[in-house]
Amino acid sequence: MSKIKKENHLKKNQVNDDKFAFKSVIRSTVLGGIFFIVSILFNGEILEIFDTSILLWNFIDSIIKVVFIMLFFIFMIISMGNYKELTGKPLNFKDIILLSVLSLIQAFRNPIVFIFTLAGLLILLAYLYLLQDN
Amino acid sequence: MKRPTNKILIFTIIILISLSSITLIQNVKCSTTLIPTIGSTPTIDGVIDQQNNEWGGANKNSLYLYQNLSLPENGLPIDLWIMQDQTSLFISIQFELDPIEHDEEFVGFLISEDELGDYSDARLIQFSNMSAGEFQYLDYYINNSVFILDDDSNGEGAAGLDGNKITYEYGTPIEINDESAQDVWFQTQFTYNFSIIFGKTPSYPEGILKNNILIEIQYPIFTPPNPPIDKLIINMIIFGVIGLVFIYYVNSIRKMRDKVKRLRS
Repeated sequence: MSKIKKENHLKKNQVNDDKFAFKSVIRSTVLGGIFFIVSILFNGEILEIFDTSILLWNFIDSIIKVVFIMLFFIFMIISMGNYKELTGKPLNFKDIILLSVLSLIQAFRNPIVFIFTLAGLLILLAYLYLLQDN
Repeated sequence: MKRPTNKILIFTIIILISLSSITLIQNVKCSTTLIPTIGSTPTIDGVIDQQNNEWGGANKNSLYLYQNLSLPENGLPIDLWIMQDQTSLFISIQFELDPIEHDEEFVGFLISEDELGDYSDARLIQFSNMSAGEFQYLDYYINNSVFILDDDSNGEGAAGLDGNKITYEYGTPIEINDESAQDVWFQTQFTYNFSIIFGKTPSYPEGILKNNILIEIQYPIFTPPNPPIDKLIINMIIFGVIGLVFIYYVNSIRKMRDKVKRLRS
């Protein structure tokens, strides 16, 4: 293969990679946005999932709220990671902290949801850190 | 190998017995001293407006109403809220029950001027047709276990049915001397014996489930509660901030896309 052909091939691969990363940014952001809206409805107590004093239903209610916040965090971190990759910079500690805070304050109304979300975020961040390390 | 297994088994049995004892003690318990919290005045309409945090400042207690205190397992689980403002004492009772079976249900409380339980006053909400939501607030005085209607009804009461959940709300004035002596005069720093009663037919005092509760009135240590910040405003601030950051991020993605397009062209 000639040198020019090889360069063109590499360039084409690079463009495809960028396109894929960009599409991933858009998709993850849209999903993050959807989960954010659902989180507003449930964690902002605009919609009640279960209006009961039964402990089990209250627990399920809290878990559902935590799951939506976690999904928001996961998709947004994927989106931000790909975005940073496109700009040529790594996802830094400040970005992760900002996203964690934005996720955590969604649980401001319910201390149980807050504690579970905090625990979930810590586990997820530890997992991502260990994954990065490996 | 056998010894540790036996030890674990014995230890587990001891823990289980201890836990069961705690449950038994809780079930047998029939008298609780409750101190009403000071909160903003609720609307006595049989509805707990959770959107506006109505009764939010009240103490919530989970109790049982017993038909026979020696058989506590037949108790009816209820949620009880107690609160007061500067002029009134408020009580709300909520529980889940099949409304079809209790169309003429009544719930209320007997009041004793002392801690001994010599009841002389009764406030009731009597349903005449629960399915249609028809009820009456009744104020009785008790003379030798005979219920006699007060000449002037004191206080207010309302009930509301939401699915299987029934809510009863009562409001009664504090520090008003009833000259007719048909009502208990609530005074500050005194403890009154309240007995919550529940029945299925409008006949008193027969066939009532009851649970004795001591309620201590704390008036006049009254400090007006802070006006509650509207839930919607707090939501708008918190989620608005996150939304703004999100919009800023989406905008930066859009800018980056334009930049990439320009570089490619």
